[in-house]
This record gives sequence, C-alpha cells and structure tokens, in this order.
Amino acid sequence: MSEMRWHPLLRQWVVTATHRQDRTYKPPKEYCPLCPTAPGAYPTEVPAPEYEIVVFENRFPSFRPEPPSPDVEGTSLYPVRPAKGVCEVVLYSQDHNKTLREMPLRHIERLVEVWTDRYIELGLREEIEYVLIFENKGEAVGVTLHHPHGQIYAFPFIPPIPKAELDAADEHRRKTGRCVLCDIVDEESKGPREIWRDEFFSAYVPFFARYPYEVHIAVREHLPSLAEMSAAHRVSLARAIKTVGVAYDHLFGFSLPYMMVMHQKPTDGKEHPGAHFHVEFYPLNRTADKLKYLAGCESGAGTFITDMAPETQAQRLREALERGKDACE
Amino acid sequence: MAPTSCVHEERANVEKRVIRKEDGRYLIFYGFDRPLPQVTGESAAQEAAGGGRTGPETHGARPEAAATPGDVAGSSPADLAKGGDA
Repeated sequence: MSEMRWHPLLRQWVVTATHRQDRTYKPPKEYCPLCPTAPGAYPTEVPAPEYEIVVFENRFPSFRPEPPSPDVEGTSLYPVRPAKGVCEVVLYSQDHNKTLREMPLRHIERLVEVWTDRYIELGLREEIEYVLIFENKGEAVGVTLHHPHGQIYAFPFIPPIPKAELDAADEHRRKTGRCVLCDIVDEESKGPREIWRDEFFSAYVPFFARYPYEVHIAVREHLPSLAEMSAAHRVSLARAIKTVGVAYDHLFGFSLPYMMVMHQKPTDGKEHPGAHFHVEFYPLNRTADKLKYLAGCESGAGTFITDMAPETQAQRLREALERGKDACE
Repeated sequence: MAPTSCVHEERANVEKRVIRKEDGRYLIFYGFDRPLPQVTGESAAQEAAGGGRTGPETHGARPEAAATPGDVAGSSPADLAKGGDA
C-alpha cells in the first residue's frame, strides 16, 4: 500500500507506505547495501567497486514515479491520491565510516553540486512541486543504515512546513515590502546567536529555536534556491555545513545526531518571491545523555518547549567550534 | 542489483552516468576527480531508451552499457546487502 490520505483536521496529506515496514534495518557493516560492490562479494545497491558520489531511487519509496492505485476509495471527507513523486538516496562517499563533516571541504562542495543537479532535474518533472533535500544522521533520529547518506523527497505538493514559511514570507512582504529571511539574517548577524558567517552565508541559532542546538544556515543575499547560486556560493555553503558539523561534534565530544533539511523555492512553476534558501539542523540531544522528545505539547499542540535559551546554545556552539577549529579545513 | 541500461553525460567539471537497475530504478554515478567506475557486470551495450520506463533528463547523454542478472529476495546476506534506505 502506498497512497496519500487527506487529514481534514490539519488540512495536510499523510503518506501511507506500508512496504516501508520491511525496509533493511541496521545491517552489519559487512552487509552494508550502500558500500561499493567488492569484487566477488554480494552485490550492493552500487554495482561498482568504487565511487565518489552516487544517487539512486530508494528501494522503499514513500513516493514513486508510477505509484500503484490507492487501496482505498477516496470520499469528499477523506480524499485519497496516488503517492506520485520520487524518493532518492544520496550516497555522500564510498567511505562507510566518514560523516559529512569529516569529509574534505572539496568533497562537500561536490556534494552541493550534486544536490543542485538533483534539485533542478527533479524540479523539472511536471508532477513535482517541491524538492526536499535532507539528512537523518544517527540512530537517535531513526537512521536504519549507518553509511553516510542523505535523502531527497520530490513531493507532488508543497509540504506543510515549507508552505507555512512561504505563507509567512508572503505576508511579511505584503506588510513591509521585505523578505522575512533577509530580515532574520540581518537581525541574527547583529546579535548573540550567530555562530559563523562569511561573505555569502550565515549560521546562527535562531531567536525562535525549537530543537536543542538548532542551527540555521541562510544565504545572506536573497537567493531562492540552489539553482541560483554561483560556484562561490556553493563553496561557502559547503564550508558552512562543515563548520556547523564541527561545532556539533565538539559540543559533547561525540558525533552529534541531527536532522538536516533544506528549504528552498518550490518547483510548481509559480513565482514564490518570498522563497529564500536556507538549511535547518535539528539535533535531539539537550545534554550529552538526554534527548529532547517531541512529547504531548510538541506533538499534540504543535508548541515546542525548549529547556535552554537560544543565546546560551549559541554561546556553547561557538565554544565548541573554537575547540574544533582545526577540523574545519 | 545489476544494471540493465546506462547513459553517460559530461559537464565542465563533473561526469555523470545514469544506469538502470533490473527493477527499473535508476542509479547515477557522479565523477569529479576520477574517471567514472566500471560498472560490475558491464558486458553489452544496450539502448537506455529501450528499457521501458522513462529515465531522468539525460540531454546529450550517450547510452552505454550493460546487464547482468542478479537481484534476489529473501533474508539471505545477499538480500540484506540491498535495499538502500535510511
């Protein structure tokens, strides 16, 4: 079963993809499906003895280009649609043990090029309205394969959180004539929550951080997506991602689990003047050994309760970055 | 899973090759520093467009290779070593 069911109370789609229940779960390293296929060994997902960066269609997709018909009949109360879209897996490198931030800066730059290529190519598809590039890192956020990788979901609709951001950007633009993300970047560059910046990008714990040590990386000029970026922007973005990773990994002394998502311009063919490219990181560790759970208030009310001031979080991340600065190059 | 078709594309600083797996899924190799790797089991040229499903955009791409049988289902180590997902 793979279908989209409408949630009439929240007015959003829920994807039911029951085949994902059987997906590969934490295989031992010697059976990693994301490593290259060694000569004479069992074939993995990658039929080659080595690779730099690989992208492939997810074997257990939530969306697929030719989805099956829904198993249930839709009604006016409960509309149902086929889960038409694309789900890709992005293999960052053939090295099973190296995390994104541990990779050479030059390699991360190339990964940014690959993300850009996928954003453009998937966005050209008629049925795709939003391309979400993301990474789930670490078992704490539900990773089932340890080989460093990210994912791309090409949605047939604009998902609720990017949609809420775009609606807010439209309203802010109507009221002020300015871009809300540009205003946020300006504001954060003045204050105590910024942790890093260069000419093109800024990284900061936002004033409104919801997750512990949440960091946003935003492009400092108003660029809607990866597609509008120059080579210099891509280099800067790679450096920003590595820098945030270094800060995270020196915060508690271990490789910090997180979710990383990129928000950018929808690919539905509309203007979206408020779209402003940025990356959001959501760690779950509020201390070295305590996780932030999305419990009753967060899950049931949609209101996040945070245990630490964003200004304190930013200070600790700056200190962690100082401890790990040699790892930034 | 073994590839069933392959296309090849080069840009200024990146080489890109799209192969088609037996179950219809595509896989894309991106090469920057090194030549793209030889795909395991490459043996015979096959037109990518003849494979049935429409692949990703491959303007100017050159259909290239190859096919070997391979995928199995079940709970063997071979099956465990498949199925990329997060």
